[in-house]
Amino acid sequence: MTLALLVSKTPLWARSIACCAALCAGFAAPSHAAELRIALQDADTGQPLANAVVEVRLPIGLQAQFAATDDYSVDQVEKEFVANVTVITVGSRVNFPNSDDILHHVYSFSPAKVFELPLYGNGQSVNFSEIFEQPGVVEIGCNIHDWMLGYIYVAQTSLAVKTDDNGQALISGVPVGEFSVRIWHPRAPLDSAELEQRISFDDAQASNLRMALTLERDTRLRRAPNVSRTRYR
Amino acid sequence: MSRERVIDEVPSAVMAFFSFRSFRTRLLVFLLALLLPVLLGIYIFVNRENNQYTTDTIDSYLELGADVFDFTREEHKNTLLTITSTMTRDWGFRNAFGTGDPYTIIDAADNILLRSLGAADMMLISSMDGEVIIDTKTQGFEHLEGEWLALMEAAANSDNGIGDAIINVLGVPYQITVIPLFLPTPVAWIFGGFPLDNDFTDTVKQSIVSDVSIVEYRNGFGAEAGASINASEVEVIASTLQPADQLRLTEQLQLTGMTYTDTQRIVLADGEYGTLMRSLYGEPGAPLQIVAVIQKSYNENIENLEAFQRVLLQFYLAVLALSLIAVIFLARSVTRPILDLAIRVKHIEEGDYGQSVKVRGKDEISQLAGSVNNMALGLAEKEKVRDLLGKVVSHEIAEELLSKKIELGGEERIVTVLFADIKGFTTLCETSAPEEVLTILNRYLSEITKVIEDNHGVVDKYTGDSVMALFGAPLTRPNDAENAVRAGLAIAKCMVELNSINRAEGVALMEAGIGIHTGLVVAGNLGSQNRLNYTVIGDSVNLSARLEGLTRKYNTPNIVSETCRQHVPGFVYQELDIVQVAGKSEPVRIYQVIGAPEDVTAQQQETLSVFAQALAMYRAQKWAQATQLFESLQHALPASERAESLYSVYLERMSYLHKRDLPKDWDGVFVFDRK
Repeated sequence: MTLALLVSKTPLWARSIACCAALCAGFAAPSHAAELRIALQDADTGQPLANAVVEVRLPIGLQAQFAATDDYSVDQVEKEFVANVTVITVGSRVNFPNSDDILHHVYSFSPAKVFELPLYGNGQSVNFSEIFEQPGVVEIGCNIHDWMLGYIYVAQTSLAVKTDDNGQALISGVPVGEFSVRIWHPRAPLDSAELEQRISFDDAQASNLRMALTLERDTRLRRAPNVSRTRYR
Repeated sequence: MSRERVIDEVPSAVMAFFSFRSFRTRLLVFLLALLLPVLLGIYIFVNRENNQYTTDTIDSYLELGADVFDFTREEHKNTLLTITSTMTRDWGFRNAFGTGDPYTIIDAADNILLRSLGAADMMLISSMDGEVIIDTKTQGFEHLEGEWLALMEAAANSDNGIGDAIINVLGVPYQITVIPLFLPTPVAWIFGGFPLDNDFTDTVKQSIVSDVSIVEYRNGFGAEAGASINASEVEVIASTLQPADQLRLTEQLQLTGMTYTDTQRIVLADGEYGTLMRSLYGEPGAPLQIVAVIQKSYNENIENLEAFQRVLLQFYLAVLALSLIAVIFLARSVTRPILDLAIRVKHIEEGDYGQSVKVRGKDEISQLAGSVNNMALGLAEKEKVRDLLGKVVSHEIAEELLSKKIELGGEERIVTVLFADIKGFTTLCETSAPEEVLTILNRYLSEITKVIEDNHGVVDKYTGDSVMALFGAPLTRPNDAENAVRAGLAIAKCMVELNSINRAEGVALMEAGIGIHTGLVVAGNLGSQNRLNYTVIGDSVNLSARLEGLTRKYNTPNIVSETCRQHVPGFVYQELDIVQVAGKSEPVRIYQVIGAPEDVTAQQQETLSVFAQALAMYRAQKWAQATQLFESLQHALPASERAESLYSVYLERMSYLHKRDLPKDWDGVFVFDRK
């Protein structure tokens, strides 16, 4: 069920390509693949933590087997980025369509990807796509709507997932061995030691990552009360 | 002893203090004593209230000023936040910041300061970790420190990431605000600031119409109460005051924990000021403290107060003047009638009952005036009565009557009664006109009365041509009888003088017959309840009258009873006879008083001696010898007097007696069976 959910959130075609790549790699590398079952909580509330990203960081030698670029889309609906957190693999292209009837001005000053898509409207999204060459977190905003905030997690490999509303995620096809696993959340400090763990993977049984994250204060700008207003309303 | 004296003296001294020469002074003093404390009390009360009002007014001005100062600072702060927030979200600034180039960023920041039109004066941008990215004031630190760091942390811990503080920027207190730069997540801290300088104090002054100063205390100055002033430790950073006043401010202002709630009074060039402080920087007692001081002059209110005091004093003067005039009129309205009364009473005292006092109104003084008038009338009446009484009765009787309660009845006492009768009066009546008779009679009676009163006698009554006089009533003297005898002799003498006048006028000559007797009488008021006389009654009175009558029989000027002679032995007497008068059973030896021994001549003495022998012969019934002696005495008299003389009385009596057989027990008593 978790898998199904995960699959449903990932483009089917991209998934099959990744699988093919994994299969191809499987021949050259350790034959059996392990999986990581993730369940995250908000340490303060005990609630499942959604929108957290978990990435298995492979050594450089193994990365090539799991490199799988794809095309992604971060939509702008009701003056919010949808999805709020998008996990992509390095080299992937992200398109920023505008589903609102007003113009948006998407920008990022994040070191991983500095870009700007000056004011554009609905239907112009085709021309507004960017290729993310650097791994890292790219914070995207709208110059018109200060509260609009989205994240694009540019992962090194395809072994990165985003937790669902139940705070759960599954990474499968992980090679056997001990690797660093990094957890990221918009409100989790990047340099926190506990967010970088080493986990052993073997094909006999799935590895588990269960954690309660202590989140930082949400410092994002509050949406103005009249933001739901549209031009014709 | 001495204590008693002291006790005695104190009230007298007090009384002397409060005894005034005039009623007006007294009234004035009492009015002032009443009015002045009241006026003074009102003045003090009003003054105190006014002072309190002034203080309260200034205090409220200062409170308001401090609040406006805070409000203005708050407004400026909000403006600053608005500027920093809005300007930094500008795409141009975001782009500039996105470049990461400090020179570009600092130009962008300067650009924002320019656009703020002076509302923001400085800008500092740091990373979220506090690394200084740019600082338009170039303060020289690379990482936020001290107040800056504290402000950043405070903002980081706040709900909205906004903070503010007053921070000393290169010696000038700055109002600093901080807000995150969103790109779109918070990537930097934007600090903005404006100086609390003269421009700011001027702005505040325009709002609160009070002077504003910003003062910095260094090195913990003022932490201890009464710390000495060190000019280097106190500095006025900004002020609307003149430089000289700024210096006075720093010299006088006390910085203690209480200064933020209490008004301090200081004196500047143009007078007293109230001051109220607001802390801008540093806790009380901290090494560095910056305070805002609001100053409001008391002058305006003091001027109002003085104007009010002037009006009040003028009012007081008017009240006092009116009161004085009123008192003078009042005093006059009281004293004038009293003075009139006093003069009037003085006149009455002197016996002038004439002019009455005018009675005005119905007050007590008017009542008194009425009473005085009535009293004067009463006194006048009484005096009139007394006068009349003194004329109608003798002075002494009048006094007796007036001094005692008049009632019927009397008392027994020994009194010498003198009767004086004018012989020859009947003849006068026949020959003269009645008016002339009255005139002459009055002249005689007046003289006789005078003689009697000179000898302390009291005229009891006039009966036609005779006078009844009392000696020993109503007043008793030790020598009443002697006075009576002297009066009798004096009357005889005065008759001689009167007769000389009569002789000159050609009026008939008169003689007085005088009877004197001393005896028990009843003295008192006689008559009815409504009308009475003070008089004496009794046998003695009758005898005295009889003796007076006997002077005609014996042809002597006076006859004195033996009782009287015994009372007054010092005179020369001539025994006349032993008589039994009408209505009396007891015989009485009667005498003629000749005079004082020194007045009696030897010839008179001889005559008296012969008469005594003759009387003895008479009583011995030796008629021949007696007759011879009486005749010899008669021959010695002038021819005109021989027919009616004492001796002729005896000669005639013997011519009758020797023809009769006298009883064996004849005692020589001559009986008068008629009056």
